[in-house]
Amino acid sequence: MADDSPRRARPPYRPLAGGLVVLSLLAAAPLRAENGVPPPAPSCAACPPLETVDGAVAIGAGYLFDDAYAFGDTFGRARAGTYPVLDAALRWTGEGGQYGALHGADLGLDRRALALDYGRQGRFGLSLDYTQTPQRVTDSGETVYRLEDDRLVLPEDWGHTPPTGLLPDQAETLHPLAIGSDRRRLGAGFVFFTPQWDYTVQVSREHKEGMGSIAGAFGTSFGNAQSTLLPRPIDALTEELEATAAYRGPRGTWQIGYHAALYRNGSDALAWDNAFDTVGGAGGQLALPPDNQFHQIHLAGDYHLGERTRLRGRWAVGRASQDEPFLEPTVNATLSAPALPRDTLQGQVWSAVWDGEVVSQLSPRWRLVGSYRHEEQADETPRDAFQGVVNDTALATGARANTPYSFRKRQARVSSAYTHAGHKARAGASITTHERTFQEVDQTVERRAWADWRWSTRPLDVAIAVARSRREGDAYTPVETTDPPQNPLLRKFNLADRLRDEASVRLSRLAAPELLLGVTALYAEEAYPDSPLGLQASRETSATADAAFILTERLRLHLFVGRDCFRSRQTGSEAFTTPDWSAVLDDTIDTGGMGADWTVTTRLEVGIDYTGSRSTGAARVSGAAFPEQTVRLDRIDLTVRYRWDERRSVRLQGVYEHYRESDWVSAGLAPDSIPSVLTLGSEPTAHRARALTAALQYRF
Amino acid sequence: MNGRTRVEAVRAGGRGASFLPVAAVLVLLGPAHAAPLAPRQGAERCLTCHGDHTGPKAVAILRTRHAVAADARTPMAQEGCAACHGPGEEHARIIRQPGAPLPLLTFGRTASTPAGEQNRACLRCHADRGRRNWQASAHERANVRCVDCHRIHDPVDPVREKAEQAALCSACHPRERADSYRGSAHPIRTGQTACADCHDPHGAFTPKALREPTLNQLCWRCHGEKRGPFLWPHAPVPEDCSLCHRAHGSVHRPLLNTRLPFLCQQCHSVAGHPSLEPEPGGLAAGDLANRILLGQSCTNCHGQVHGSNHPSGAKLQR
Repeated sequence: MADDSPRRARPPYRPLAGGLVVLSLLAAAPLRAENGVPPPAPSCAACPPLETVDGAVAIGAGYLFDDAYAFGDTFGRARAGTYPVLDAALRWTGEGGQYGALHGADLGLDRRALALDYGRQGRFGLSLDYTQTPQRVTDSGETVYRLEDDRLVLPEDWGHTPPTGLLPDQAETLHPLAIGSDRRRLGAGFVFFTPQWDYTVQVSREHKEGMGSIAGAFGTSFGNAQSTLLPRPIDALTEELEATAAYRGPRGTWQIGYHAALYRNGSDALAWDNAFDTVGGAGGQLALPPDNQFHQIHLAGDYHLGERTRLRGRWAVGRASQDEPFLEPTVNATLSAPALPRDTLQGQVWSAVWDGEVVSQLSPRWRLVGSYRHEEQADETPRDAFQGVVNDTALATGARANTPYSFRKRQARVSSAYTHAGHKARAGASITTHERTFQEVDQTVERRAWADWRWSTRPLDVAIAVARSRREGDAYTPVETTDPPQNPLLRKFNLADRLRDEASVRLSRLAAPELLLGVTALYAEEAYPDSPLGLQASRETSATADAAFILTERLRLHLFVGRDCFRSRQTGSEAFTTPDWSAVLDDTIDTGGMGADWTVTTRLEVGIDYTGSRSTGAARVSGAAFPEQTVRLDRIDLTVRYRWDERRSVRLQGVYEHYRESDWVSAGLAPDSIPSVLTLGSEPTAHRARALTAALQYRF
Repeated sequence: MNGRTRVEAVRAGGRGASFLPVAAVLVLLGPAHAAPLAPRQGAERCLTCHGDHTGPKAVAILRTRHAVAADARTPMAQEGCAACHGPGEEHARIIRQPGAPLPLLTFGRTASTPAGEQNRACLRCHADRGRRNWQASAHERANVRCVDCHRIHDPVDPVREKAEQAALCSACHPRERADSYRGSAHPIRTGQTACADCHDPHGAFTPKALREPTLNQLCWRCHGEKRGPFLWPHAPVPEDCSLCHRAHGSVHRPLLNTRLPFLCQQCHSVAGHPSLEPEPGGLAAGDLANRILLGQSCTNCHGQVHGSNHPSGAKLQR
């Protein structure tokens, strides 16, 4: 029996409607006397009015005690000082189902959100929303460059000496650089309902602005390359449109939709002065992400084939295109590159995704599921041979043809589940074929089998799952277009033969009405048996435990702990022959937290939460250990709410966050630490941030 | 069947089940009150015991979208509380014996009603395109109840608030919670990126219940600069972002599965630029070793890892 078919939906009770009516007519008076529940008044006095206005507004101020740039990533403010607190949630409902709502959160911070809704429930709805999302990476960067007329220029007295010892005489030319960005998104939507159709249109416009970083290299080989990490201005616009029409019928649902996405970059190139005079020309120019667009239509639906079987499917076809004019092969005036075979990319990539599924409840206890998925991407960008210039330094040896990558992935799955007395056992298998162009392996085939068992009773829920998969591919053949060639013993991990085993256990127990316990454990292991070079094996283990207590009506506690471990092993060859080194990488992450919610009195509530995370990354190469990379996070959130009366309350919130990391990649790295790379000299992130807010909340 | 046709069936008395609400009213009121009450008045009968002053706080549902009588699809425009909980006349008639199950559809983890039956009550109205993939979805297979995530009786359903969603999902997905606390992560724990921004908890065709037809299409909605196409693509990029990135959070910036240079060296070892052995000693001395270890490692030179549109960008450096 299809268990969620709307057509066959019935109330879960078995009425004796006619008999009940007769009984009621014959014995109404004695029945009322027995149950003792008085008949209701003619109007619903306990019900709220049909037209209401309610909401809450919180106004106050906060103070951030510390400058903490990366803290602004999550908190919404990075600089010490005072900030406004303004939150609002207002709702209006009308007698005829009309509604309006205004929702604003963190309006005084960089991560603000504001939403407006209006409509008539069941008829139409309008929405308008604005969100701002900050990203704060680091503010400890330093650069000698300044941006002038879309070009990164060096100081006028720049020495252009070789990188070693570059800056002691010119340290005063460095100025601070912060890496981060802000996304500002404005969205609008409209939905219209009829009894069987609904129509939706959503549009959005997001502006991303800020500063990133990117490498600008000169030189023609690994041996003579010199590079600079450059500040990269970010100024990009993404606009989206989504329109759908959906139908609800007695035997299923259908939907057609269109999605369009346009990406616009404020600049198509980044030019910079060459900081070195030993290699390359006076400057360089690289291409920033080009404008592109994507259009897709989709059809989706489900159909009830009889009472027990449901068919569902989706078909989506899209096209991504990009046709921006090419930059010149070089800005080095001393070099003369041949003309380009064409002026623009004329790039287009077709994508097609088909999903089909059959779910059949063969009996109340036995279900069969079969599915097929086809995912295809056809890059129809024209191929031509481009005679390039290596890093604005010298002509490349010979022209090189571009390689538009295409792939096709197909998967068939079947599974069967049997349920009895709270036990549910399931087993299934799948086969996935993956074909690619311009890759070392034309086709891989992966076969997977899995089984899981679940036992659900009211206090206890246990689930165990295991799976094994094996991937095999065609012969590994070097790709002609790879120049210079790869070591023929190298196997890329996404193409290589692979064995994968997985197992997981999940247990959740309601030990008492006031105590909920949960435990999970996961194990996954991969091996690449036919990969002389490259990734050899990986293993992931995870264990977590959660508990939630209701100690009293007024006091609730919760805590959680968890450990995740990830280990991988790979080999390499410095001599470009057989493996001559190996590396073992270990990442361990411990996470834990606890919290309490305490209703001290009918007016006073206190909540406190602590979360801690300890990450350690270790690397050993041929037995020699790198320093450990560590990340430590401790965060405490405290909330105190005092209610003056039903409408007014005071809310105090405190946040403490201590974050520190150590990473040998960046620790003590000055801009001139690396002889051939002028870096941004960023330090590992560390901050201790304290914030306190006080707000008056009024409910109406 | 959609809400409108259900209402029509009840009014027509075409099915035995639809006859019951009228019968329930007659039983409760007797002949003196034979005319059926409006559903909100019927709800007040339940509120006699289940109002704010005693018992579970049921009245709050009357401030939610489920109680908008002007919308014919809502429970309160149909059978009132009985639309979800079943008829109340028997429940109101008998004295409940300790330990005996309620003759009603009850919801929640401790309820005697099986999860599937609880969910069917919701799916009578909500089996629309948003729940097309519910049957046989990961959550349905795991016996997740609608009410495990949704608070039907609350004026504000926490799971529909972005700021609250991560905490709720973390109750069953602790690994993803741990990932969100790593050094490089999407802003999930603060609610700026909600779980439902990427995943459809009611099920989807795409693996991991992703909202878009493919993982890459989902990523490109926020990271459109990576979509391309490019003159010089980097093969794993258009195929699958997760070959290099771990979306919930990672120890290695930016959201990398493995730190550099090791990640690149898993796939690259070319003549003239072999996979140099990263040596701890190279941290302090040596030019070439420094360059592949410190700063941004391989991307100290190869900055265009997602692809380049520059005619001279074949090596992803321009």
